[in-house]
Amino acid sequence: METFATRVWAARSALIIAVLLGWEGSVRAGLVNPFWISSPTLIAAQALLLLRAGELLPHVRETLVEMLLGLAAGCGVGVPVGLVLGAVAPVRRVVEPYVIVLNAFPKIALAPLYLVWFGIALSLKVAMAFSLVVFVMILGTFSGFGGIRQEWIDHGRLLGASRLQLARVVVVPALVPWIFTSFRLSVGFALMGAVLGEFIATQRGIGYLIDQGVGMFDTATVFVGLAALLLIALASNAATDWVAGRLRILTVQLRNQQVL
Amino acid sequence: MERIVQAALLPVFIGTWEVSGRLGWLDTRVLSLPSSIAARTVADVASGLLLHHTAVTLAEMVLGFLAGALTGLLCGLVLGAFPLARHTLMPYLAAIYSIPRPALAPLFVLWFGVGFLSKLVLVVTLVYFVFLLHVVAGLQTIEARHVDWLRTLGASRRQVLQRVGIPHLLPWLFASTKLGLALALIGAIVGEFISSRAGLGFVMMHAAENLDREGVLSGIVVLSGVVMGIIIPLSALERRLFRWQVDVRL
Repeated sequence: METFATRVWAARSALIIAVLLGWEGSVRAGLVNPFWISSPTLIAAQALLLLRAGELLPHVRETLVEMLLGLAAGCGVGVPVGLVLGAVAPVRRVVEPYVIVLNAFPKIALAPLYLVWFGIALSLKVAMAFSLVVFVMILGTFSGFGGIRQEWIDHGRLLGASRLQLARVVVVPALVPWIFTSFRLSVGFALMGAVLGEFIATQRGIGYLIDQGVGMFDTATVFVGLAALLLIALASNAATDWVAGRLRILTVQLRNQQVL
Repeated sequence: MERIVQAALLPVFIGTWEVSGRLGWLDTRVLSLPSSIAARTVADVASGLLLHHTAVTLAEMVLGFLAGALTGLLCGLVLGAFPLARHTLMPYLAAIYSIPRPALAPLFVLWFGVGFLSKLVLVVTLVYFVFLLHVVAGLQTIEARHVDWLRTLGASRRQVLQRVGIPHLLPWLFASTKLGLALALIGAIVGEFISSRAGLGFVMMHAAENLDREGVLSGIVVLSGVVMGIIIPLSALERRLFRWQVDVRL
């Protein structure tokens, strides 16, 4: 299959080059006004300009801070709540429909409410990221308990395991893949929450940069902002996968698919 | 017993909220009261204001969903049939998929204006990728030996698709529909938040800008109704259709 692999690589490289050249070429040849789609060289030049002027990194830092705070708070609240709700079987059965319905609710729609509560402070963006993350983590942790088979517990009990030993040997290993899979999803959600919060009200952050670019009809700046988001998303996914590979954590297919 | 507790949980929660608000334990200027939210929702719905804007949001959602689902399904089937194209494009598609698409909303406003079209395009970009990636993934889970067996028995390509392909894809398409509808609603709302002149998101943001908490909350109540109206029938249908599959998906 080596020939197939090399053909794939050749096609991939050819595609990206063709897209970039086609984009640049159609703008240079006057087929499309750069006002609408900018062009790769214009975007690169604008990125350099913003970097040199120190007008890019502070925005990136702001978005990262909001994202990480929201992620940390969401995991810090979501995992314990999921553990409490999931650990006791009768409680789990009682709250399950509520958890599922809450999870299906579009949390993004809370943005106007947060705007009323928090104004345009940092807390608005962190709250957005938090509310997207926390339900993912609650549901993920919660669902992990559903995957523990009664036989495993029974076998452990027969072999004379204490409650603590059962928790360590059966429960925790069963939950880790679920929590981790939810976490991987949450990273992207936290970024999305932060950026949406910035669109709605802010004076800093990548979302602000994009919004400002649109406001001034400056498409190059918009694309610089989008490229920054893409890089953050790809880098954080790669980092999470690297950690998972290191720790040999498996991921699971989440049953109730998450919506923002 | 569990059923009773389950059914009682929501009324108890709302009752506690109402009572503690009336007794002054909660700041009603921040949290409002269930009774006043309900009254406001009824008033807004009765005046026809919310109905009109909800219809706008639903139209964006449904049209965008249909367009995104059809194109995504077609492109997924095409990619499934051509391994070279699939292997070439997948990393790019996955990268595009990882951009938070709502981040594109301002760009779409710039390109397509503040009206209906910019929301429609945002919804399409959200739904398209869900279907495309699910269809490709679903086609890959088809076991090669099943196809081989049918081929050995002399089945044509079309028969293989009918007997193995479509039954295999159905649960994936169903999952895509559920996720796609939810994302379509989100896309429509987010698009309206960012800039619009109509729709549920517009009403809520407008209320927020006037610090009208109950206006925001009545929008949230109506939105919850829309979500329930989508989720509950779909979940029931899923349980009926794919009962045989429940264990597999766990």
